[in-house]
Amino acid sequence: MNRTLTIIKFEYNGYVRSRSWRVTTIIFMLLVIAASSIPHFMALFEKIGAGNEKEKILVVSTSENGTDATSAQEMVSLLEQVSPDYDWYAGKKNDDPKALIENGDYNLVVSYDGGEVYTLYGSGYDFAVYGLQATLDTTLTETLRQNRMSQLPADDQTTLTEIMNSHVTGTIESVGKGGAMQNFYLSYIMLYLLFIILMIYGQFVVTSVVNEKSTKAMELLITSAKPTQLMYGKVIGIGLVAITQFALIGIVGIGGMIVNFSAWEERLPVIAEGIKTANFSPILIVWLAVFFVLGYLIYAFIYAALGATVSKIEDASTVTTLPIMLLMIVFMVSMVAMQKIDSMLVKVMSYIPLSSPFTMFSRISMGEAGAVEGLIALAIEIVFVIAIAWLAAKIYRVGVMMYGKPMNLGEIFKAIRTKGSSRI
Amino acid sequence: MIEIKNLVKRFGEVKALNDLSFTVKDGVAFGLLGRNGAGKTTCIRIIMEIFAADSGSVRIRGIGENEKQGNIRFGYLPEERGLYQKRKISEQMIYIGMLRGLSKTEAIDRMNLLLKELEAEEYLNRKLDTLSKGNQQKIQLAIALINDPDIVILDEPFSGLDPVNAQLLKNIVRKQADSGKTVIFSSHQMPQVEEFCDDICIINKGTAVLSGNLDTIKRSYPRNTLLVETGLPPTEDVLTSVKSRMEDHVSSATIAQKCYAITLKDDSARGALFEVFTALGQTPEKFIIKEPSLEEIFVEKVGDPTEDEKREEAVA
Repeated sequence: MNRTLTIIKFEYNGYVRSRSWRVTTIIFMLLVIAASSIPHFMALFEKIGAGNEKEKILVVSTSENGTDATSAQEMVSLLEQVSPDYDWYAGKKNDDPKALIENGDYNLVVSYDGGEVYTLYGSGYDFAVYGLQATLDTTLTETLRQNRMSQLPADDQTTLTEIMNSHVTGTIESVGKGGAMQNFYLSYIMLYLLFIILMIYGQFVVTSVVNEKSTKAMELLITSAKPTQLMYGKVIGIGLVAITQFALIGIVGIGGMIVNFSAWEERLPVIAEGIKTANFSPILIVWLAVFFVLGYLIYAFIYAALGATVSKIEDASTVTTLPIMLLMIVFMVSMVAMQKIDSMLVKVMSYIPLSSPFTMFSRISMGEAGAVEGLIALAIEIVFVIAIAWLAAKIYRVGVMMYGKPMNLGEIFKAIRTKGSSRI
Repeated sequence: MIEIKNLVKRFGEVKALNDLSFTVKDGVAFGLLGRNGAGKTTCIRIIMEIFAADSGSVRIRGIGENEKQGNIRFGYLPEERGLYQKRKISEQMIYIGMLRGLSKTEAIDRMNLLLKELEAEEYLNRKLDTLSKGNQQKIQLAIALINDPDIVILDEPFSGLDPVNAQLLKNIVRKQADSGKTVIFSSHQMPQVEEFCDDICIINKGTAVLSGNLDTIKRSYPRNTLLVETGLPPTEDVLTSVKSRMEDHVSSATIAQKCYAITLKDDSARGALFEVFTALGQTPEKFIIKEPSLEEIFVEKVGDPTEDEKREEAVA
């Protein structure tokens, strides 16, 4: 155990103290800070982009009562003054906003009945929707107040106060893609993150194993510690490096979001709202951590075992093709399947050890699977991790002292079965 | 003490070790000699438990390979040398020291001591790939000795060392042996071995063809050839005169560089030979028994070299 700890420390320090790792981490941290400042960039781009093709917005008045209403044409002429960056159009009462947007006739449709609520229709990913909302709120509130006041006797103070406090707010209805599934974005981000970690750090594991063989350090190492200790120490050490890197990036990202949150609320209120209402329960974070760790261990053990079967860095890519292909397929299918989280494919994938870290977490976070299903997937996952660790240790043990051309699967299994054999 | 008994190891069709037996005593420098591919490294790797023999046994200080050797500390310099090129020397030495059971402070103390002894203290904070090959070799040796081992096994320790560093290495090996440790080293550089090893084992085709104390081995060879140096350049005339005067006792006489090499039929004629040279006005300045060099013994014992190379290729 002590030895394994020593190996973990050595592996960990090797990466964390290296210049390339530090530079990469800092670059990622800067990128995350930039991403958290997107609303500020949007404001900047809007200024720069003024004069480009304007967004077309249709205003539809659905008011039944002529006396309390502002007609669509009146609203349009007012909004043209307030927001000349857009092209405003007046619509008819029974225009269908969804159809008009889906046909591409207009970018946005404002539907207002002259009361205290309007609806702004837009494609779910059109940033203009969020930027515009604040303008509409203010303009329509002002219009409502003036309308109501103009209809009052001059001395009606109570009603005046009521009118002054009346307020128009909008609700946004997303048309087309991007439904309001719970934690969809969170799951999406986590899938990406897991994929990236497995790609980057899986390569680290392979390179590290092959490097010890190609520099001939291995013979000294395996006479100083057991091959299993070397492999577990390496896999865990590199895993901790991954955690450190993503924790640093995560902390900066969360900090950036906290600092910039008011800008998000102003410019991208839907996303801000999504973050506020996302279900980041502690239990979900535990699920996330467990599936991340197990997912990493499965792929890292595969990488380590395969790395042990080659002796030159140039040959490393030949053996990593298999886990990379596997990972890509699992990732792609998971991404596509998430659009239909209740499908049979996703259900099946969430119990297969190689894909369950991706799909079972998505199902749980999006409310598709309960704790029992999660625990079953977890049990299967743990059994598989133990099995793969055992097998990987066997392959590693015979592989590390084999030099020459990369071994094929047949040779590997033959070597495992023959006690104490080697090609040296 | 290490007792190797009847080791057999096959790699596919090739028998790398074929009934190999020898014993290494404590407190001596033991040279395991053989041509390339003779089985030296295979034997060492079996002792180090990198892989198992097909049959035969290794007993180290009375303990067999399947028993716990927990209290015996090994120091090993592999033939395939290498470490982390991009890590600091100090980091690597402490790491290996700790893997071999030292605490961090013990590892640091040993590291400082060894680097001082090897005159390599200045490399402490350097990365391995900034050192010359010879200096990397020194660091490797320091790492082999980091845990103050009871058994020191050095595979081809002299390869790549200049004469000064080779001497440094010899001193260290000597010191280890003198302090009662078991020291095995493999080599095919006979002059280096001859100079300071006590016992040897010559392996050929996986079998021990000669083993024992080097002096005893040398003494077992005939001691009837004398090298005579007179201070004057040897001449054919003198040689002919000596041969004719001692016709009954001399079996052969030649000129070997600066001296005469006279092989006698029997040892008792040594005194007479000395007198003959004196009588000829060629009083010997040096009059010594010619012992076989380790190299000569080696060549005599080791067979067809081309066959060895074929074996080496098959094993590699």
